Parts: sequence; structure tokens; C-alpha cells
Amino acid sequence: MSSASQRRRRDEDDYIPFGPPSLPSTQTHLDNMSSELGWPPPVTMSDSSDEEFRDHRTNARRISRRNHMPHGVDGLMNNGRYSPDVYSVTSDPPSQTPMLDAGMQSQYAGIHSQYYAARTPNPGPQIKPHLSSLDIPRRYGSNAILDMYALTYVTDPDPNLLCPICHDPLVDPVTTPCDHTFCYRCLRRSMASSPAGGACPIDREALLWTDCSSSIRLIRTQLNNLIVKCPHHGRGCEEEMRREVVERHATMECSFREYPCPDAECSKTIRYKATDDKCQHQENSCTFCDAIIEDADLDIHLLQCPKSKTRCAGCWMLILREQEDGHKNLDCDAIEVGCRFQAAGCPVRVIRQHQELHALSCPFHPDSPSGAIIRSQRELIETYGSLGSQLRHLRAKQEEMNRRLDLVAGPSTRPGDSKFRDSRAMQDLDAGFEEVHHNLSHLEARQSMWMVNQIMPVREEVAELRNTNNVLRMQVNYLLNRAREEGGHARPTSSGTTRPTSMGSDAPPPEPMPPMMRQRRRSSAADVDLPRL
Amino acid sequence: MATSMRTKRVAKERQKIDKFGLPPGIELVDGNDLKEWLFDIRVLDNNPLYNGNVYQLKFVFSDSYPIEPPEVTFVDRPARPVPMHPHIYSNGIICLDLLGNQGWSPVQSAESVCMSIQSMLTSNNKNERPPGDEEFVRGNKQRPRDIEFLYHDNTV
Repeated sequence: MSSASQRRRRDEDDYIPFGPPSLPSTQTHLDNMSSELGWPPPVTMSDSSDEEFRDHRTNARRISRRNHMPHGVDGLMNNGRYSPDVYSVTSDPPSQTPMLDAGMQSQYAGIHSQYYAARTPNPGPQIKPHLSSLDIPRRYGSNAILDMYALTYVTDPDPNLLCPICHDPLVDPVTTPCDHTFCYRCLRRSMASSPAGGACPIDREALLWTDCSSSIRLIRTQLNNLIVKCPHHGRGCEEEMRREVVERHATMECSFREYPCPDAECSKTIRYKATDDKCQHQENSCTFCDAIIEDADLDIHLLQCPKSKTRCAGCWMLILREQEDGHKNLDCDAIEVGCRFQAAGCPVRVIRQHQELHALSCPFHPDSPSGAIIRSQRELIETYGSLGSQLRHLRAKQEEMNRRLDLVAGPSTRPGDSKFRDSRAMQDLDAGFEEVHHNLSHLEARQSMWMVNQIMPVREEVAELRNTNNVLRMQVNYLLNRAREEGGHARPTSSGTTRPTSMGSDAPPPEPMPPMMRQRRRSSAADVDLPRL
Repeated sequence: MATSMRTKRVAKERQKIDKFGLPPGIELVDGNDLKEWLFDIRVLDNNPLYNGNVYQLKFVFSDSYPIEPPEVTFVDRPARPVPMHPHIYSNGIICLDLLGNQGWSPVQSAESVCMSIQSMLTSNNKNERPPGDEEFVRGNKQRPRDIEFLYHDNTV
């Protein structure tokens, strides 16, 4: 069995670089275009044609993942066009931009694309499984979930749609990288029980849950179209419907969905078959939290109770519901996280379980030779960066300086606005001069006033003193004249102060003489003796 | 829920056997119970060791079947002896990696296990018991699934 599958796989591998054999012509055309224009080609994909395209894409995705594992050459040949990023399968309708985004990313992916399992933080199957696929134990409320794995099918389905593990039609089909498809729950259970940690149940190839993907839509629609009996068919419901709608029917529409409460006095109904005769509508406290809940609704409460447990879809561990977020952020091994040396530039994203493993071989590891080169280059870049900022700073400073210089130098260097500046300055100066002038004249006036005020009394005093002086002189003259007249006959020319001419020419009586003398003396005395003030 | 998985799966296998039958040399003796089945098995070629003999295999399906392997032993009755084989102890316990947790795969079925054992007998030509058979048979109180076998021999 395994050799056959290996041979088939080799065939597929051989086809990859040239596209799968049944590739539609548009796809080959695109490939040609991409080889001419380089990746990514300007692809526009309409929603209508996506089924066919995506079949090929998922195939290619699976195969390319397998190729990327250890054999590098094949991987290198293929990863440009068939890297898993390009062919991610999501439940969303494909749009143009994600394709282009993926194309950009795939350049980075390279040989590391096995780490690039998905662009979503939750690698692995992208379609959210039905709650019953999570295999939540009964004591945590799984009673309230319709078990999609226990449905009864009306006709024998196509044997190709059966899960190899449970031999029932697939529920939430998941496809492994080795191209085998199982029920979500069956594969999880098988991988969880296998001591080696996971191998494909069919060909025993090593298997990581995160490398599995939701099966293609073709399979899912076929499964959804299978006709099933109402889960309450044992109680009389004869409805048959497509599997897709059975949950709605069984939980909301079916008239057989409720049982009467086993207590005859209670008129309420319950959703399940009671095991004893007790009324199911007595209130009891929840097993895990303090809430008071009717027995009949306990299972529904347990599916929401924060102290109850749920299963992490990533790592398949039972965790407290209240810790779900923390678990995803910190503990869960299957959540995709960045490389430890992300800060050093490593673009790789790995599941947390492989973070350490990747770190050991990461080319950005600071202890590895390449890491050392990268680090030194980063340091260089940082230095350049800081130099650049310094340069900018200096430039800004210089500009500021120039601006100031211009201000000082003014008209000569900057003729544009010198006129304006000149007139302004001149006006300022004029106003200053005027003010100074005004102040000066004011001061002058004040000083002259002050001088006048000071000098006036002095002048008066001087005049008075002069008068007194003249009076004194006249009296002295008079006295001298008298003295001369008395002894004048004896010594006629005794004094040099009187003029001989006046003495000799007129000989008026001494009494009327003094006023004349005073007049004359005064003028001569002013010339000779008194300093002028 | 595990119980329902086992019952559903065993019922499915039973349906398939009823519908398509079993390969030559294998016959379902008692398959009414969904927990324990009995198969009659004989070799198809002329291997002198087993030719003409019919052996009986007992399958016990645990609640975790098919995630866990079924417990498969040869029944020791006058009409149904335990075949002589270097990997089969005289108390009927079979040393086969397929039946251990390591070698088991949930895609196996009772039918495929029977065929494996059939081919295991067919390809054997040693008329001997495993080494230490007597001690093992005397001392063993464990159930087959709890015994840790060392699967060393790939020839038969």
C-alpha cells in the first residue's frame, strides 16, 4: 500500500514544475506569464471558477508541503509557485489581494516554508470544526451537543467518502500532507493516542497536526449533501434531510426533540431522555462554579461555564474555559509564533512547539556565524541611521544659524526685504533721535532755569556788596580827603591813590565832592579791583 | 462516547462482513457481541506445520477501539489448538507489532488483522515456540496489550 502511494507521489512530484497534468489552460497561461513577468503575476480570480482552481491549489499545496520537508532541491524548484502560502485554503472567498500578499511572502518563505504552514495564527485545518469534533467529555457538557459522528445515513454513501478510521462518512474532513483524509475527531484521537506523537494511520508517515488542512470544498459539499435521518428517528420523527441542516432541525424544528419531564407533576420538557424518575427542573449548583442551574440545563451551562473545561483546537488539551485566551497566548504548542530572533530580522513563523528547535538552526541566531554577520550589519545600519539623524540635526542647526546671520547682515545679503527693513530701522532711529532731542532740550531748559534761580540771589548780593564797598570807599576817600586837608599843607602829595590832576584842577568844597567822586571811583574800581561776576 | 465509537465501528465491520464476506480461510464464528468476536482461521497453502488445522482467534475490542488495538489471542481448545510459531506463545498470546500500541493503526480492522496473522502463519517454517515460552506462560498475569514486546524479528 505504501509503495503504491509513494510511486503515485513521485509521479505527482515530477509534474509539479510544469503544473499538474490536468491543469486548465488558463493556469498554464498564468504560469507562462509569471515566468515572464516574475512573481506575483497580476492574477484576477473570479469566485465562480474558484472550485476548480482551488482543487489544484490545495493539491499543489499539500504536495509542496511534502516536498519542502527535507529534500531541498525539489522544494527550491517549486516554492516560487507552489509554496503553501500561495495556496492557502480558507473558508473565505478568494480575493485578489491575499493572493498578491501571499506571493510577496513566498519570496521570503524559501526552504523555510515548512515553518510557513499558514498565515493565520492557528495553523492546521482552517475551517472551524463542529463542536462535537472537539471530543469534549460528557462531564463538561458534551451532552448538549448534537453528535455529528452518530448520525444515521439513509443510503449507503459512496465508500470513498468514508473515514478509514470510523468507517462512517467523514465529519469535518481533514487531509494530511500525505494526502489521506480522515474525520477531524478520528484523526485527532488517533494522533493523541499514538505514543510517537503522530503518524498518518494509513502510511505511517510522520505527521504534524499543524500541517494538516481542511479538505477541499468538493469533498465537503458532497458530504454536506448526504441524506441523514433525524437523530430523533427512534422516537418517531420520519424526516430525512441533508446533513448540512440536520443540526438546525434536530435542535430547533423537530417536534420530537423534547421529552416530558419524568416527574408527572412537572409540566416542563427536557431535551434528553431521563435516566430516572426525578424531576429534572430542580435547581442545583453547578459542579464547577457557583451558578445555580436547573438540572435540565446543566449541560448547556457547562458549555459556557468558565470553570468548565473545553478542548483547545490547537493542541487538543482540555483547558479551563476561562484560561482559554491565556493558554492560546502563552502555552499552546500549536499556535504560530514568531522566531525568537524576530528582532534580529528572522521572518520565520513557527508553531510554539518548534520555536526552540528553529532557534537552534535559525540563521539569525546571534551565536551562529551568519547571525554574527547579520548582527554586525545591523549595527552598521544602526550607526548609519544615527549618523543620518545627527546629520539632519546639524543641517537644521546650520539653517537656523544662516537665518540669524541674514538677520544681522540684513540688507546687503538679503536684498529682497532690505528696503522694508531699512525704512523700519530709519523710522525707529528717527523716533529715537526725536525723543532724545526732546529730552535734551527739556533738560537744557531745566538747567538754565536752575542756573538763573541760583545766580539771581548771588548777583543781588554782589550788587549789594559792591554798593557797600563803594560806600566804604567814599567814606575812606572822604576821610582821607579830610585828613589831607587837615595836614595837606604839610604834605600835599602824600597819597598815590588820588589823581594829582583832579586834586590840582578843581578845588570844590569837600561836601559836594563825594557823590561825584563816588561815581567816578566806582567805575574805576570796577575796572581795577573787583572781579567781574 | 468512546463506547459508542467502538460499537458503531464494530457494527460497521460486522455489516461489511455480512455483505461482502471474508477472504478465504477466515470465518467469523461468533460475531453477535459487539465486544468479543471469534474467528476460525486456516492457512491456504501446503505449509506442513499448519496444513489441515483450523485455529481460532479471539478478538476483544476495548472501548477505545479502533483508536486502541483489539486484544487478539489464539484460543486453546481441543479442536482448536494454538499454532506452533516462534512468535506465538503456547497460551495463545501473539507477539505481533500490529497488535501493540506502536504498530497499531486505527485504519486496521478485525479482517485485516486476521489476514496479517494468516500470512504470519503461512510464511513461517519453524516448528518452535518463542524463547522463554514456558516461563512466560507460567509467570504472565498481564493482559496481552500491557506486555511490552520487543519486535525484533522481521522475517516472519
